Amino acid sequence: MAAAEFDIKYVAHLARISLSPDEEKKLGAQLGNILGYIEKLKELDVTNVEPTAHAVPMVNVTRLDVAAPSLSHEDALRNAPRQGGGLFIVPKIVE
Amino acid sequence: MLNQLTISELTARLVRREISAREATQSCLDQIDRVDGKIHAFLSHNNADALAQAEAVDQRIAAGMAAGQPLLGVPVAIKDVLAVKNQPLNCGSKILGNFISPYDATVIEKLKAAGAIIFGRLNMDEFAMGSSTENSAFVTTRNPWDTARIPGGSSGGSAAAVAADECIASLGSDTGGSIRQPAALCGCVGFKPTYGRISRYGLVAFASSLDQIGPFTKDVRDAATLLGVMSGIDPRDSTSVPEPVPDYTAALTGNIKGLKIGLPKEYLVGGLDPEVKAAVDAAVKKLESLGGASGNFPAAHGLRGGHILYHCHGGGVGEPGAV
Repeated sequence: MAAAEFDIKYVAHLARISLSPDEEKKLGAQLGNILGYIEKLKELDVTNVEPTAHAVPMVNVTRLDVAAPSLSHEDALRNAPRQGGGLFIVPKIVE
Repeated sequence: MLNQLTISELTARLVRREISAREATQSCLDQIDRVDGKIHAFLSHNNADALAQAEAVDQRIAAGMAAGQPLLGVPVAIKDVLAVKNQPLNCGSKILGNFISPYDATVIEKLKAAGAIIFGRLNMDEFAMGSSTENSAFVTTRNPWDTARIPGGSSGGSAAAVAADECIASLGSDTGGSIRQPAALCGCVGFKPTYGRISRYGLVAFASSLDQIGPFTKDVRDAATLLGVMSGIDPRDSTSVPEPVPDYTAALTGNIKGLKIGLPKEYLVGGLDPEVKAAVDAAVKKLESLGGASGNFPAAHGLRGGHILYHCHGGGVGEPGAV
């Protein structure tokens, strides 16, 4: 299948993953091929097919707006690589 | 050997006090020591914790407090994609570092309430993205029947562990075949419950409108037992359905007269391995001889279904292969 146009540098930047030139080449080709498969899907005739909004016939599944016990602050933060002031500290990604 | 028993056999012997839960768990741990160096089904397992759970079961049995628990004393190993409190949760990946889950998935709560011994983190394709378990960030699990072969995936560790009698049963997850395919490749029972049957709370998501948790077992009765324990609506999973949970084991009468068996004709075409076709044909003939009736039906949109499936997954990792 034809590889789709694919800007691997841009996507890697979005994902904050640094790639070597070799990895850029290999992954760019692989991801391009996967996107190329979309063309195969377009070959389907779905004129008479109802769009599937959801796998099960359930709508508006809600609960009462009542506070209930949940994870403690301490448990929630236990795996945080960095924490401070009761909050997760994460790398800055937006300038 | 106790690790070779089924859930039905083990629970019966435990209730009759012929064996202890500690002996049964130890038997599984011994088997892991014997074979897992070659099979690599387990990413980790905590022997002391498993034996402590087993001893707690034995104490409850001795105190007469263990009536009616369908998984009493049964060592069940868990795919590394399910949250078990105070156990590592890595999804076969290095991305989550030393993450220790602070909570139990709903299915784990249900298994514990049913008396099961929850142990071990089973190998898988990273974040369930794969069909061979070769995409684990740690190790490739081997098929116990031939260690030069793959066990399938993404629940390869779950399938291999049951097939190699390293546990009595295991849990896996299935998005596009990740229980069914490794169960077939490793020769154990595995199926994907209907979407919405089992709560996904505590299952690390891959494709949220497709994911389901399911069992790997040594026989169908055990699978029905586990399905019954795990099924049911859960307020913490808004995609779980309010269908009542019947006694699934009651359907195992052995009588299949009048059962209709559908064969998707688009999958039984050229390119199918002749040995696989022969095995499917033999199974169909056997079911027909027992009273079932088979017929072809068109799978929706034919072989294109494979491509659709792959994209519903989000593309997976690496080159898409034939599905």
